[in-house]
Amino acid sequence: MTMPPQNENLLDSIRMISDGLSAINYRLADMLPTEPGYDELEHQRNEVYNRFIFLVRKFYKDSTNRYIEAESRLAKANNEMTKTLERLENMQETFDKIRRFVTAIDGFISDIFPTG
Amino acid sequence: MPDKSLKYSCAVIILFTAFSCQFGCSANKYRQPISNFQTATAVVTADTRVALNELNHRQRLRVVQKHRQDNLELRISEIEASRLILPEDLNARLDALDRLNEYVDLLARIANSDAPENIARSATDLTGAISNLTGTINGLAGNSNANFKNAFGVAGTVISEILRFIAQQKIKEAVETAVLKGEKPINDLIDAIGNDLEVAFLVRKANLEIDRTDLLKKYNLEVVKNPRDEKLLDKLSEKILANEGALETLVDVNPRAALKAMAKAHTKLVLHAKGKSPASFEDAVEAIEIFAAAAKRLGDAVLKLKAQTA
Repeated sequence: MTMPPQNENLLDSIRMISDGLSAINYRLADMLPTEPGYDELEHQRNEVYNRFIFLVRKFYKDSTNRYIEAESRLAKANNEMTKTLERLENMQETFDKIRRFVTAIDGFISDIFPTG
Repeated sequence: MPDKSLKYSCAVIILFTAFSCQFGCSANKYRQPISNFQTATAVVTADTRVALNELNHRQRLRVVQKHRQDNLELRISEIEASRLILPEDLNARLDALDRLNEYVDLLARIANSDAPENIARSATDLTGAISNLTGTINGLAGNSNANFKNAFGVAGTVISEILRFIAQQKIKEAVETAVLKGEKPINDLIDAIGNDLEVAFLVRKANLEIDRTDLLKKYNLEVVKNPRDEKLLDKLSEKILANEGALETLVDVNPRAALKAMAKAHTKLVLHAKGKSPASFEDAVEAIEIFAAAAKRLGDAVLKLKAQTA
């Protein structure tokens, strides 16, 4: 699931507002608090910041589905990998089981019919 | 003609061993690059976890500090409203990150598997046990079994080599299949993480820039007072410097580069799994090395920023 177009737009808006916020903050940081227009610019900055945070919340909410989708598909892939590992381990285990059986038979025959 | 058949069997073993090393050992070539990919991915996912968990924590901190600074009443609803990401949305992300780590860990487990050696050893042990049993039975019948045991020993070696080769091929196929199956979800996840972290980065940047403005405002208001609070001015100038340092470090904390490198490394692995040419493998190894270096830079920067803003 790729990013839905509305989320792409949301991300672009967030980037744009972030640039705007940076510009306002830089302007404020270069002014004295007593200069005319400072308080108004600071108020505008706070408004823009609130808008920015609102969009950020919306962005996180809207993109959750991408994680849910990816998680479910990855879980399937992981399950298959686990099975592959188990199959390889089982192969070895099967040989070991047969060996133990053959060794037991060998021991049994040697005990019952000693040749020495 | 036991001698002739013995020589023939030895030749078969030598040829087979050479052949299996040519093709079967290629499963081992994945070990190092996948281990590097695993380490770098662990750094990125750990940083993502920290960034996502800190998102709400930092916003909460700001709200409480702002209320304190302005001597405002504080309610739990205001603290809760400061969240940027809801708990259920955060959990969905953390689950997906767990799955991503699990995927890379399993990939590394398959690539580093000792199964071919263990299977070959078990097969050798089994043929040894069968050989002993046959010897016991032949001994009961009073037959000499030296030639039979020799032939059985050679056959056992051939069988264990064949099984080792099969196991190596299975591992190689398993790595390639896993990489192909993981292509889409991993790429989507890397993209989603990249966007999430970019937004977290922009929030962090905005907050630090606001802090800079606020600190300068306080400093400039205090510095013109008569008498002025020298201790407060010292404290404010220290905070201004620390904030500037954090803003400088923040540039390196932008996760875009590391995530782009991760996506590229994964794509190269997928391309190699599809095409299987030595050149594509070299490309994948190089891309993984670049990703590992980018992940290390990101991890170091995150730690530095954490120390600066602690």
